[in-house]
Amino acid sequence: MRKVILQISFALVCISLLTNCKHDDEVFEGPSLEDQFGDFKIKSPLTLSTVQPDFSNNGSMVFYAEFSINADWQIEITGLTTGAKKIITGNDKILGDANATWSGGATSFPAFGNEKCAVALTIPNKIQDTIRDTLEISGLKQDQGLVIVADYENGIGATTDDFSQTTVTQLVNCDGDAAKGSCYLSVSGLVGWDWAHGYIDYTDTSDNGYGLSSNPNSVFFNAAVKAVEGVETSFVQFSFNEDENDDGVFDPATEDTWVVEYWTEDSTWTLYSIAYSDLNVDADNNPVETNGNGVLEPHKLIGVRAFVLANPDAGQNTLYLDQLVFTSNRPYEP
Amino acid sequence: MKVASKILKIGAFGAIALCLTPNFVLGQGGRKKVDFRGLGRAYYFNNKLEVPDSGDTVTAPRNNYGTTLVDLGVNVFPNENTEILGVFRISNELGGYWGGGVEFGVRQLTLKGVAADRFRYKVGDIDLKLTDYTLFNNFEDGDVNEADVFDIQRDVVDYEQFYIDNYWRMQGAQLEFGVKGNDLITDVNFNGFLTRQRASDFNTNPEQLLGGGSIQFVNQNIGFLQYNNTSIFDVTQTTGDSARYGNYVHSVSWGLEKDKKDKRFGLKGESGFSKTSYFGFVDPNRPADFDDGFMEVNGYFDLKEKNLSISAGFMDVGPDFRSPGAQSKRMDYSKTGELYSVITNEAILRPVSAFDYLSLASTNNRNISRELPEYLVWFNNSMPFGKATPNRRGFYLEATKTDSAKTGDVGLQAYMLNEIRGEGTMQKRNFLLLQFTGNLFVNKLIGWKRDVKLTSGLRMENTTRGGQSYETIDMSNLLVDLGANVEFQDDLDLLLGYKLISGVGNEFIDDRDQFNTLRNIAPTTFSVGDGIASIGARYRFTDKVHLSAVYQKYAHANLNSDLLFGINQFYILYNMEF
Repeated sequence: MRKVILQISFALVCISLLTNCKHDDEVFEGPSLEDQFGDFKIKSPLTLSTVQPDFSNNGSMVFYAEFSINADWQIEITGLTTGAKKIITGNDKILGDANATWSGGATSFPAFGNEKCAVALTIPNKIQDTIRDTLEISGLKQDQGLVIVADYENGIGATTDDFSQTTVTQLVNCDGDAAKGSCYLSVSGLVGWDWAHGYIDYTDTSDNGYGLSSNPNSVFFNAAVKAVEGVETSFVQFSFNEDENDDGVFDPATEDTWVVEYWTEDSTWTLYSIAYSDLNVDADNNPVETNGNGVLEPHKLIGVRAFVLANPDAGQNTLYLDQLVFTSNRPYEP
Repeated sequence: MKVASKILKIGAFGAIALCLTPNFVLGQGGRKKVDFRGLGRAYYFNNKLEVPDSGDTVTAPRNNYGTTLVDLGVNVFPNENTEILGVFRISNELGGYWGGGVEFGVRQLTLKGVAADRFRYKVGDIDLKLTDYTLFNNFEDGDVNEADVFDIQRDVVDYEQFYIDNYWRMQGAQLEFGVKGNDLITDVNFNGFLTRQRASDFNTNPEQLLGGGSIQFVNQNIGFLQYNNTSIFDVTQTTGDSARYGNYVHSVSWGLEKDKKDKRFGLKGESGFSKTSYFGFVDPNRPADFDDGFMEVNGYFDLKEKNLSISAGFMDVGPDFRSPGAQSKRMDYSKTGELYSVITNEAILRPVSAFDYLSLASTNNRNISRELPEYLVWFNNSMPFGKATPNRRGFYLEATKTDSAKTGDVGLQAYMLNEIRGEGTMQKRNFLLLQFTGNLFVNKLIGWKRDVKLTSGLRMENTTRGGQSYETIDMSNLLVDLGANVEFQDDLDLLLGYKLISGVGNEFIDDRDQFNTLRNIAPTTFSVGDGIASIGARYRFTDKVHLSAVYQKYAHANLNSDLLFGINQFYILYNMEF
């Protein structure tokens, strides 16, 4: 009996040990601590795929670098003539095609020209120094896939209505101060009794309106705004009218108008972009009420209103508008 | 609704009154057909929050509450093979106006019996336990041979939460039966159960069941071999969503023992594996099905005449071993403390701590958790989910000794464990856990007729990890439990207790998603402690009836977050079992 017990014991212990001691321990679990908290080193310095990028035919260029750990990084490209800037940021270990590709656009206005540019790579939480390089743009980015509401290059555009106070001048200027191209809309005047300065209704009544995607997440509205006078006391109210019943006419009593306001922030050209999917909430992220079905339907958009308003106590106000465009999948890049 | 509620109450009490009539209590043959048992309790708590330096001028510092309740258990024996157990609760909040605080409910309802003189069955509320790795309700953290003065409250919590040893209270059905065998296998015992964990919400959460059981082969002279299974699974088509979760744990446990006149020794063990599946979940973070195993081998030796027991073992629990039935916790650390849930002028959510262990509150948990629950690393870092804690491998040694005159006993446990798979690094944590318990019956030493008992418990835990400076860990935890009982008059005890739990050092706190995947690891520095000092008196009317009055001071200090506060508590508790 003793022998039997010993044999059974030995067999059970062996079975237990042999069957379950093999685990997947060749890797570690979770995000790498070294990538988050390890010593920072630049394993590969900043290099450029080309120093003379040509963006004219959908061209692009890539910035390469490699660090020892994940780090917040920023590449800033500055046009030495126009002052245009493009900023690319991320938190990565390796910079390359996936996260550091540039297609020639600027982060805001003005756009880049054929010019020399300074490149600055900073890793703010890791090193004090800035890593610098230069490049020279040999071909400019071409806007593609834009749905233009108004760029003022050929006057005020296809409008159905407009209004301006008697003391307000609302006109297209082509004096070289445009955000893009040559011309822009100027709304200037002193209105001491009312917020309203002037508006213009743009309408596209063709069969498919502006021809936008039906997915509001993939549609972005963009505008260039410059407050020459009245910074932070003036704003532009953009309204988007949907023809829900496809009769070619917008009925404000039964169809949706989505409204958004942009308060001026700067006396230089500023790019304002908003996803169509964000139009159904207000600044506090509360749902807004409309008179139609309450569904965001960019493919049914037939009208856009740009309405300039300013605080009547703020005195003379001058506001420029340019480049009212829709883009697909991402905000506009000048 | 109120009228209907009153009718229900009157009806229920009428039924109870009918049961109390003699003809109903005794059957025709004089056999008892109805038996009563139950519990009565009344308590009143007076609490006062203390935050130093006028750090809380918002919270009302005093908070009082009290309740009287009676649990009336009725055992009905319709025939010799069937028993119906119902426990009805009537509770009345002290200060309730004209019955406004009265609640009436059914606390337990169980039908059980024997079918065909062989099959034992239970239906309704049942208590289930298998093994440490398959289905096991681990004890709370923060308790090593706790003082009796703390047990007064802990007994209430255990009773209210149905914490009976290491059983889980569930609702379902259980069937057990045994078969006599031959010389090699003398007995075969079967145990099967199926319980409902969650009802479908007809939206995204399908019906969830937990089932399992064991088959045990016994040789009275050698030992046993047992197959165990616990399975948790969502039932398909109980929602419009096709996603379903499943966790299946299989194990084989065994024991070989030789019992002689002066000594007993044996070998036991368990090994098995789990398989976890998140079928049809649309979340892109959903992991592929995964599985992992575990094993434990333990040898033990008892010298009966010397009252000495020694055991040593080796355990290995895989990083991906998931067993919700054995890895759920009694405390829900994801919640905030219920009493004074928001404190200080900065409106800080009061963290769950030692105070909540002794309180009957929403932080108590009695549900099986699909996810690995949160835990406090400074309470228990080496085995937060008991022996089933995944990603642990190592040796342990346990010894207990009682002196021959029964004047005291000591116990010692030592666990030396390490991780099998690193977290965020290939470096692995090492855990050293030392636990000591001791009781001294002073009255036996000095020959006093009344009880005088000193109790002590000490738990020291050290967690380390080597490597580069950004990944090293050095964390030390300490738990001290001290207590004294002095029966200074017949049946009147003076009770003293002190508890200290502290953690000092650095650790990395895991942040896991709903699939138990480690998503983030946050480095955290600890310099934190909880202390409770308690003094009370208890009068024992009988072994099952006592009246206690206790005053205790609780203090929490977290030097990293500069959170300091205390709660002074006085309570009177009357407890009666019948």
